[in-house]
Amino acid sequence: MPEWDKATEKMLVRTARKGDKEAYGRLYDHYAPLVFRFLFAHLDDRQDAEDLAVEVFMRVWRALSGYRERGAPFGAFIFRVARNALIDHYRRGNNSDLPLEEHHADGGQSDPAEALPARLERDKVRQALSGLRGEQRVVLELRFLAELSTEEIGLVMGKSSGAVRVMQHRALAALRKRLEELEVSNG
Amino acid sequence: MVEGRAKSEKILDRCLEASRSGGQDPKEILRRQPEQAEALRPELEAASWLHEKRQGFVAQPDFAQYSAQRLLAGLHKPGLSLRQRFLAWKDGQLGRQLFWNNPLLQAASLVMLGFALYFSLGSIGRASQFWLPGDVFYPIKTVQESAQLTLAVRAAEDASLHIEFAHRRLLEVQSLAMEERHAQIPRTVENFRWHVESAVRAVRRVAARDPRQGQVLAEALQGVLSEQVDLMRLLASLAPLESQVEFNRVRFISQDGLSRIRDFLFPDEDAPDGGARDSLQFCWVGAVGVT
Repeated sequence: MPEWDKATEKMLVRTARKGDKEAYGRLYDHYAPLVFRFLFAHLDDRQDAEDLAVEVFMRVWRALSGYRERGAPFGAFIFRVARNALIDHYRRGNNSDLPLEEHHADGGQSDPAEALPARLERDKVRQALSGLRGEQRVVLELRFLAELSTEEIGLVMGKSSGAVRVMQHRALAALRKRLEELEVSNG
Repeated sequence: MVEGRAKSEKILDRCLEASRSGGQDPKEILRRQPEQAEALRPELEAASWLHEKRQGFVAQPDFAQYSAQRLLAGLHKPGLSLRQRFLAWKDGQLGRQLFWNNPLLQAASLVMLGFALYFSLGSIGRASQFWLPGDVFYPIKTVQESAQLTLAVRAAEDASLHIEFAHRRLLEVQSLAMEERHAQIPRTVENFRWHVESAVRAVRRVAARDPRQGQVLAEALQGVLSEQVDLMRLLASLAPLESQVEFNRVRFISQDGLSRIRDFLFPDEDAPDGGARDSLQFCWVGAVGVT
């Protein structure tokens, strides 16, 4: 995210905490697509992912008083709320207390207007990721879909950067293996 | 092997970060680490695949724009439901947790706490010697003493501590008398008695194994029990009637303690000649002022 200046972000967050919705809107413009990507990796329905992304930002707005700039980057805070929102979404929708990592889309109800190849590609990714252990999957999603740094991922998951690097390494090794298995099983 | 793995993880992370931020070329990083390049090939291939596929998850081009209106409408809505209020509190806690999870902040907090504890405990330790029974912080002094006794493993340590604490109780009795805080004296004298009895038992245990060490401890106890005698006699003569009883009790406790450690003051099997012994006895009797 080279064009997104962290100093600007700090200023916007500070202003938003005082109630400035326009400043918050700018933060939303930047982070909403990333949050959507993260959520869409778990939710098969695009509309659900969009609705939940908006809900995440409403929750972040209401919880802004709890955020401290010196604590962690704002992105880490947003994705922590996003992760919790996803868990709440599953609990409400599925009446399930399974951890986030146990849930994944089954490719059943995609947007009918969307091109088939795009959907199939997405399903392939979900299928590959579903073979990973829960935390490994989340690390890859936050790294590649949400585009967070190792430090930010550590803050979202409550782990050290070193631990995240280890998980990341193992997750990619596992993903590689999974892809080989899928290739073999698909002929 | 652990170091090699850690190095691989770091290089992999640098490559991924380079791809993410668009800074350094990942190939350049790997060119400088040719042995790692081969080892990391499977992971980098998986990363490359995932990076390519992420395009399938992008939002619609105008998603941010049309959803922002929905967001603003939601932000302008007055009042929150009970669930929304609960979620606002819960998500606020996440923000606070992130603040306190900051490793630098945690380290700084621990260092400050350590300093605060060190200085406060040191100050407490120094100040405690002046606290008397009935003072607000006196329990801290007795708790410290109890902790020391609990931690004493050997009989010699136990004896030394009881001798020290018996001495403290004596000084407290004197201070209480001088400050005319007579109500606290009986309890303090009782504690004095307990420390003397415990010291005597511990000295016996030590002497049974090591007569020389037993003698040293017995002499220390003798010093404590005999040095305050004259002052106790003076205080008894000046104190109210109810406290006179307590000061006399201190003298009897001292006398009793001394009589019980007498044998350990002379550990040699050959008893000193009768005359010398008599004179020592005379000195001993004179020391506690038995009339």
